[in-house]
Amino acid sequence: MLQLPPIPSHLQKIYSTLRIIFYLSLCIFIYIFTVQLFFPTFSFTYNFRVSNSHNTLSSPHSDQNTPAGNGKIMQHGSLITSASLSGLFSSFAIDLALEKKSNLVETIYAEIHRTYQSFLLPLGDPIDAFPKENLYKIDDTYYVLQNETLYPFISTSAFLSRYEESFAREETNNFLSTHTLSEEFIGYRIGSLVSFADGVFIITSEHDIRPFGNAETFLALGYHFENVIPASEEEIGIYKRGRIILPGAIHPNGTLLFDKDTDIYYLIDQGFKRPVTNNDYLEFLKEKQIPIFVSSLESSKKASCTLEPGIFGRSFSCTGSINTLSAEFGNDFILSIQTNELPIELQILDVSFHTEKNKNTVLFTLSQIKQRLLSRFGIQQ
Amino acid sequence: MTHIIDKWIQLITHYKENGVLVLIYNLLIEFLFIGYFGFLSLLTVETLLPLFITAHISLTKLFIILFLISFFALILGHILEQNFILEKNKKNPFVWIGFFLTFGILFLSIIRFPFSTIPLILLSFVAIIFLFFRIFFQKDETF
Repeated sequence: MLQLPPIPSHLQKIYSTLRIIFYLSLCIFIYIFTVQLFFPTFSFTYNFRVSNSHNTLSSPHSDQNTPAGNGKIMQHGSLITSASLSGLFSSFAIDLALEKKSNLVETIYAEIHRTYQSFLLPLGDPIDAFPKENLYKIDDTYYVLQNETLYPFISTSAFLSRYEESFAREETNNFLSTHTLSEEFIGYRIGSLVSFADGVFIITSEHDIRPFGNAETFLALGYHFENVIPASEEEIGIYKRGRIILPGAIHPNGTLLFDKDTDIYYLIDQGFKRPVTNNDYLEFLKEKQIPIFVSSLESSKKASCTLEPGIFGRSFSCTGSINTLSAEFGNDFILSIQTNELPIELQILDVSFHTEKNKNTVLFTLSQIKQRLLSRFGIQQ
Repeated sequence: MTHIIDKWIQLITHYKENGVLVLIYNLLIEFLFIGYFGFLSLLTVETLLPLFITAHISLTKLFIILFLISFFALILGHILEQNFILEKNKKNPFVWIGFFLTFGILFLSIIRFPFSTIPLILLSFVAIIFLFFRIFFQKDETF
């Protein structure tokens, strides 16, 4: 195959030995790499000394929801952060180091639970009425009347994403002449998923859309491809494109969650999860989309471990099992570090998630590969 | 400075004569052959499943390492008066592997492009292939 110069006879033995070593190393490398591919370990870190892009854990905060980027944990307090990743994991490991000036404690307690961050938002006021407006249909265009100004909908599809067709009153062109006509268009319902060209976007406000970084992020956030509405250039054109949605993003406004344990539907709205109690509106929303499934029972399940100090008392570590945390109802691992003794100050926090080396993990990885391959070719299951 | 260079030349000549450089050269070529083949395989998987490989290994770093080793092997080949000539040989299985790999990647790249831009992509692709063919296989007729 390869035409190589001949090796002198006195070096033949060394050459053969080196080739064997080379091929053995190659086999070991391939084995390790394959194991890593099928049974990956994902590590996340936060350095409290430097706030930079190398910090892969989300911005930490206290249990009182105040920022805790300095790593300080008050007595009987906790520091909460999160890591986002999808897949089946069997165990986790936590390593942390205390600042030199920090108090020394004997043990630190860590807790992890798995959910969607949006499901942890505070409960908002219930939505007990269908959001109604003065709606009109003139020729084939829908309008909403606000402050004596008629705002046209960008398309029928945009109108139908917000209201029932019967909500619009038919009017003639004379009606237009008696009102001020806005040049601003009304688009899809906030929270709608739309596709254009090769991208999928979510409408985050009346004027903004955000693209999904990739199909994995879309699926990891629990969204369904069935909910994506193909949009035209004109429909997309009324929005300003915002930052890409990456893993770990909190669901934007308008996202519909369904808690399978309580049968309650929630709509994410301005930092709250609001239960939808109005039946008509709920039926309308359910007709338009498949909600993101959450589980209050599974979200409340926790895995924990007690961090023990190392030789010098400043580094702590522990490992724990997370087999009990379901992978079906969220891909955000919420980590809480607690101290009961004295206030402490963290310097570095490392968390890693390990997959179990068994048949289930291999099958799960293979199914993910299949799903990704199909979505790569535009086939949705 | 001249003294150091002379020492180096002496050392290289010594290892060239006792066959150590040939041994290193052969091992390097074998390593590069497997390395580039592995790189292309990983690149193909990465094209099909974005982030599947690069989440674990940096293909850029791997390519830089292969490129630097290739450069070293080229110098070594020059010292050993070895030429690595590419020859057109339809029977070589690697020609066919390369052929199918190239067209596989081309197929993947045009699969979801607007229909109107596909001829432009195909045209650019053929032009690049032709350019590479000229670079690698055209005999130098300037002398």
